Amino acid sequence: MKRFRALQFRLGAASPNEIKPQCIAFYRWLVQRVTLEDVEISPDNPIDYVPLSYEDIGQNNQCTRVHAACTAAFAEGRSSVDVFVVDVEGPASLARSHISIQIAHAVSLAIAEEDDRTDKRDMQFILIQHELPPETESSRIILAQHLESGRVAIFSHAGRSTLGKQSPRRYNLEEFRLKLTIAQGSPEALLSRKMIRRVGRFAMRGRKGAIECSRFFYDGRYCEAEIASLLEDEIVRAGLPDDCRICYWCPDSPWLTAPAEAVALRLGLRATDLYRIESPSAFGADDYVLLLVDCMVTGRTFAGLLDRLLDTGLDSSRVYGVTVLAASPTDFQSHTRRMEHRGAIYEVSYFMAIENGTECDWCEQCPGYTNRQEEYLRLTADEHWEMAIAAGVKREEDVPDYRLGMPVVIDYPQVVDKNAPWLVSKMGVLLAEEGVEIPGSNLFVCPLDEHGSSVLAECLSLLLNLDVVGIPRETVDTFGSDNEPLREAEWRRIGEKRPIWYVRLGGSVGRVGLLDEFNASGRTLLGLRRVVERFGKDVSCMLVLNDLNPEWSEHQDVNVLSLYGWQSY
Amino acid sequence: MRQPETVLLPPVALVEPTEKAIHDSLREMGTPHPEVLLLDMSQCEYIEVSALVYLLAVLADRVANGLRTRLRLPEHKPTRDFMRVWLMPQAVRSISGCRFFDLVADDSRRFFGENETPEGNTYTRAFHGGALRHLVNERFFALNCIAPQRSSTTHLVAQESARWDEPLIQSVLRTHLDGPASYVGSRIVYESMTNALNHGGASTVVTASKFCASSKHDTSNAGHFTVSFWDDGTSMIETLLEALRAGKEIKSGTAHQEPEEHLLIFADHGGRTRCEQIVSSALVPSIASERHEVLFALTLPGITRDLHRVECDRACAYLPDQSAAGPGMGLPVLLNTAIDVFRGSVAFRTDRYFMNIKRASGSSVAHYRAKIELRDDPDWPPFRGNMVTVRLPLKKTERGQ
Repeated sequence: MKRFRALQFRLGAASPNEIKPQCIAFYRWLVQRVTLEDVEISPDNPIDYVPLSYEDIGQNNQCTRVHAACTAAFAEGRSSVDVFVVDVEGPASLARSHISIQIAHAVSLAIAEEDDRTDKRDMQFILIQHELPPETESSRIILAQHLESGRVAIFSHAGRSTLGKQSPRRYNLEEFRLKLTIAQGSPEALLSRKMIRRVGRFAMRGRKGAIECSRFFYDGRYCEAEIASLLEDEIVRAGLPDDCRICYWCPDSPWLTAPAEAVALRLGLRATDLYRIESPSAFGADDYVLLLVDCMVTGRTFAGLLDRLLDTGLDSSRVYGVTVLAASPTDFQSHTRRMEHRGAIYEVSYFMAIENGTECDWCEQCPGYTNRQEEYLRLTADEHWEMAIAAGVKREEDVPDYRLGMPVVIDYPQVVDKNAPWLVSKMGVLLAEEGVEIPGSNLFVCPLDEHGSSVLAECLSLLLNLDVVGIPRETVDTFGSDNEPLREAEWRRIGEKRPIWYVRLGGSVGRVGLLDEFNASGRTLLGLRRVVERFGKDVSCMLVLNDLNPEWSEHQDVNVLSLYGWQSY
Repeated sequence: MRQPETVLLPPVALVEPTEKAIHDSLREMGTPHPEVLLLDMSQCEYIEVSALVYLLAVLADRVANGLRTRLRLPEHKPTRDFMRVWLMPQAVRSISGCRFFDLVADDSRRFFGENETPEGNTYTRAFHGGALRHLVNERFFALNCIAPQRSSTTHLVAQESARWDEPLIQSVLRTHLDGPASYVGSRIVYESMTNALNHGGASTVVTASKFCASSKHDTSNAGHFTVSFWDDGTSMIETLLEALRAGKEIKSGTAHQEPEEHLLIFADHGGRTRCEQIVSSALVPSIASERHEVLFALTLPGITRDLHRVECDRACAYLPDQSAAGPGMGLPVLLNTAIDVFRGSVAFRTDRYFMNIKRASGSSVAHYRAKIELRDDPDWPPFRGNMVTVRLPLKKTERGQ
């Protein structure tokens, strides 16, 4: 039985974090495939997570952290570990050569040291990188001899490896990609967590050309990679012919053009933007078209596009429909929406189901349609109350110890649940406007296990690549109180226990922001601030969805940024 | 009003002929700094993207010296449209602080408003491939003027390299280039931007890129992808010399690398070779080194203007003697990626020098071949700032824009 230990470098992360079980399962599978033996994870310190912030990566000298972390992990595990996995995760644009050189150097040093020992063991190293380095690349040159001997294997995220001809016996690329996708999060799940849904009244073409409105407008600018991945999978899964032509339609959704063109290029297919051409060039009876649209609510646009295609002579049986978003799906299992047109049935595949927003109670009194292209920096009253009405009100839960719960509050967890990507995208713009850089090594802290702030935190991380650390409510409340001895006692207590949030916050670099759903008395933000400052760190800003106490906020020496607010406390 | 001195740019305005045309004309005028200079592009039927970047560098130098510059636009409409799509008017405004219209010669102002709709642009209409057309329309490759003071270096570099990580540009790079597509963002753009932003006094960085199909006259290759960076900071040669004059250590440990040998050719302005020598990558320049040797040394592993920067103290403690990829590895990484991985070349313009580095021929013992040309006499003002141009060959089977 081989034992393995993993070291994960997370590019662009500001603080240490736990590694997901799916990731560990992927490492286990990969080690098993490479060694062709049964494997188990090393029981002592099995996984190391090393955050590399933007500053760490940007400053050459800071990259030596990579070397230090590798060397320490290899030294600790040398007597008990057979295989070390070193994984570089995060945006590919941050994967500087310096990082792979440091890893390669640390690996070659560890092998050299091991070979000098009388009790030497045949340690193996599996390196996972964004791309498979060509033979002329610096880090690969350092490892050339060990790659040849099989002591080291490098894998790219696409599943290519230095194992060469041995690979097919051990795994296939599809299997590798599937396992890695599960470890990194499926594109489908990421799409639903990153798709922005704006609230408003957006004009759309209704029956017989009349203007109707939709209460939602979708913006997939943060999900282009996921859409491209899903589209490519769909084409491969459906077994569409090699000469299939992708005809896409997205005049209101510029985010669809890049994925459509990227996939066409990747698969060697032709792509046509139907909006940009007067009429598609005539199709022959043998042609095959993938008709791709951004969103399918009433189905009228899709039907109009079908008309355009069929009028050129295309056979209806040779049109395959795909929509990124679909209201009223007919089969949730197969992710399809059935529609009938000119006597033919189309099973249109979709990637994400959405709410039908066309039932609007306000059309009679509509003051005007919402601008799709531009929006205000903060939430308008209309937008805020539209979300609030949809979410409803409730008695306040998650009440701090120092005050009574409010009898009626907007159900902010619901508001956040349904609108988090939009709210977070607006927060991103607000932070940029206020000079809080994104990306940067900005870490945010929020109260732990509170539904609304947890969802916002996850979204901040997914959309803006910001790290968020949750601090337990009791600690926040204690630090928010005026009782200094109590605060000191709490500080000692957490210092002894060293919970994960303590390690993450303590190990972070750069400035720290504070995040909460809403601000009432200011005590939660004060508590969070005092915790952060106890670690000797500066607070960059306080970010809340709704500021119910702007008077308190105005007196802070740090910017309190909110998307909406009124004085109610 | 004083009549402008005129520089006529060549019909095929590649960067070197453009540079030569400007240089030769100024020599004829007898002054590097005529009070009013007209850059006449009327004959240009093709302008290379790095020539646009070079023209911006010239403009920036003239603005800094309080001199007026006028521009005569190309008669050839596709060339004017190319300049529009590459956002030359906006870049000129950003560099000069003046409206593009005000800088344009009176007889060229008739071209303003000639494209009533975006479809009127003949340059973009000529595209066949949808992906490239989309990127061009989105101005992905266009001139981008960045003001480093407005944001931290880390932020700007991360932002610029992240652009190259998007699915569409990755697909395009994967299709046209023979090498790992993500290295363009994480290594070429990242290192070039870091280099530009770290030059002392840099207040502007200009970037631009372009896919170029092989020319009608040269079908020996499939064309190339060019990405250029220019900054108006202190010359990289002077920066290293300053460190040497101050007695600073300029070489960090690079224990992992066996020294390599490179062929260094030094030529004068006419291209006549003054000397050819084999230089070890272990070379450490001294205060007595020739300026061109200092320029070449800047590309060697571990050479840095300041080994003991503030951030070194904490991190280098982990690695007392083996800084495998520490200070002074930015340009070597750029060369490794552009030349060894993608089989391209890297060119530098700074001070009075032009240096082009590519792989040495197979029969040579040398790894790289660096040709440095002295571009001007010592009494002539040097090139303003630093310009780095990376050229990557396209796959043989592909054609570019």
